[in-house]
Amino acid sequence: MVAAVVVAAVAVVAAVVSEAIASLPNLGVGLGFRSPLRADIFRHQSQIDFLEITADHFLDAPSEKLAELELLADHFTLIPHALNLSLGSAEGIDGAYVEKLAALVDRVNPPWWSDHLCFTRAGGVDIGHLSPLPLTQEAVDVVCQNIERVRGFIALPLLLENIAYTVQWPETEMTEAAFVSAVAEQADCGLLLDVANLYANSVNHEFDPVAFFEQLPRDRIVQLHFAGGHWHDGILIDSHAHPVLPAAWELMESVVRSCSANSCSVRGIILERDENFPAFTDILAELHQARTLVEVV
Amino acid sequence: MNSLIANPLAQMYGPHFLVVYSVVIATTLFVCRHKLRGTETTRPLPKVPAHPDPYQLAYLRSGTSEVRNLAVLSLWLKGYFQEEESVLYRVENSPSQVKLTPVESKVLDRCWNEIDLDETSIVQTIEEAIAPFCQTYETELKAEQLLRVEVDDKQINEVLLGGLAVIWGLGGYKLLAASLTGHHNVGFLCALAFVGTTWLFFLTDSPVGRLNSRGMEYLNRLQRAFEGFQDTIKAGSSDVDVPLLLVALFGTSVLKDTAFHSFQVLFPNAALSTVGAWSAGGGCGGFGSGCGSSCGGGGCGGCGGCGGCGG
Repeated sequence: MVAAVVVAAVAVVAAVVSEAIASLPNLGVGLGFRSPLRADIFRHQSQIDFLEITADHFLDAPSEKLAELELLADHFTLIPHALNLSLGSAEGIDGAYVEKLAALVDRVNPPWWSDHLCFTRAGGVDIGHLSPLPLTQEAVDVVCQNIERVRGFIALPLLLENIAYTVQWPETEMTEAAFVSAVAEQADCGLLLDVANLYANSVNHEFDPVAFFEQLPRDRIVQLHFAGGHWHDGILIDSHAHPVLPAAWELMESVVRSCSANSCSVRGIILERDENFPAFTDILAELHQARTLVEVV
Repeated sequence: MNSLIANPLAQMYGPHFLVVYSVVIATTLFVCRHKLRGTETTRPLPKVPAHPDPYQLAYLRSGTSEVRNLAVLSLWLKGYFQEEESVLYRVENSPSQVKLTPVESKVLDRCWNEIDLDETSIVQTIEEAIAPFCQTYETELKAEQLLRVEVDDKQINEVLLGGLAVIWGLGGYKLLAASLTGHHNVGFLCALAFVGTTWLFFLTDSPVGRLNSRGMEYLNRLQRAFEGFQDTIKAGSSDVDVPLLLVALFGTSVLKDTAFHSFQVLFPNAALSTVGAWSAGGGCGGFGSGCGSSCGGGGCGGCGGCGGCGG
């Protein structure tokens, strides 16, 4: 009897949080903010619907960086995107890091925020890399426990992003899509589907990206990332330093089309470009192409 | 005379008085700061526009002289002027297809021959032409409460005088009382008065020049937003608007190490007014050696003659 009540209560809470995800605003098509792009971003602000900031760049930031943050926040909706929360760490999350992240989120007041479904720290050592998790129920439970703890600091909806990886754990209990779905459902999170990562993984590990995508809970996909990569020794590297590949565009169209067909809509799309910056008109052209894709579909 | 020093304040033990004096000075500075803040508007700053009017920004930063310099730079970039041996000439067959702003058209109308930079009456000629535009900028910027107005100065002076009255009044009284009672160890007292006075002047003098603190903050925001274009013009941007925007915001020194470097060479004095918001005074650098940097924003008349510029 008690167990049934607990299960029902959990279901009610999950439904309420899911409603929070479902009611998130539609932000449009935006750009991952990088300081070298700042002048062009202000020059073309009418063509950029929102910005995603790398949260870690603004933690422990000097006053100059905070002034930049304030300037951006006055002109754009900002989505903090964290790198180093390490939600998959069995040792738990870094409390000091989460506190700083919570202060940033509080300062920016976004509709949602995001981090990666991975681990970046183990045994107290900072790996400095987004590393894939073992696809096991135990890892699902670890991630969900960590997310629960993070929610004590940041109540806003959290989106989890799928990462690109070149190595996989030898022993798995489920597919990656099942793993992502399990975490999203169990922790009641939204998803940030990185189309470029999905495409790179599908090429490097030889699986069907559309089949992967169709196994995900599509109503939880809130945001998309897209970016360009390059080939290195037969491996597609998600470098964010090149134009978006035609095949990645096709995959993004499939994703948007599938979401639309299932009565769920992506609330925001972000182009990531980290280096080797082209003329800004090329970046605007990619944003325009993404916007057109959403409007047509 | 005894009644002057027969009270607890005058007879207070020196170190104790210094503590009291420090508290009074700190309180005075706090109240003065609060009063100065009270004179500033709480309106949010204007947004950074995607395509700001560079002439209005130039006027905001440094007044009429910068509008003048910017107009000449623009006409040079757009092919109406050409440089030969450190002298600007108007091109005979001007590229009429290039769109000019009203400011540029007015300046071009007044300059139809050689512009000898050693002859400075051109300054007066051009400034007469652009005066109506500058008046409009002045009105617009004051409406946005980005420029200081006379009432600001009056309030600041009142706060300054009030603060000085408290700091010097109390310190002077104790000094007098000390001398009447034969005490000469007043070094710390004088030092405290000096520190308090310095801080007071710093507080009341912070809105330097034409801009108030709101104007300086807005200019800082614009500079922060667009400073990245310095790399763009170093890389060789073909967009004329970019160097104009940068010069409007930072002055001609941003042209150093760019394809437009010769303009900075042509106007060596313009670089003198290349300052950020923190020191944006009236500024009258630019044409001719006769123009210093001490004029206000309302025009720099009397800077000598104009060579070769008709109108």
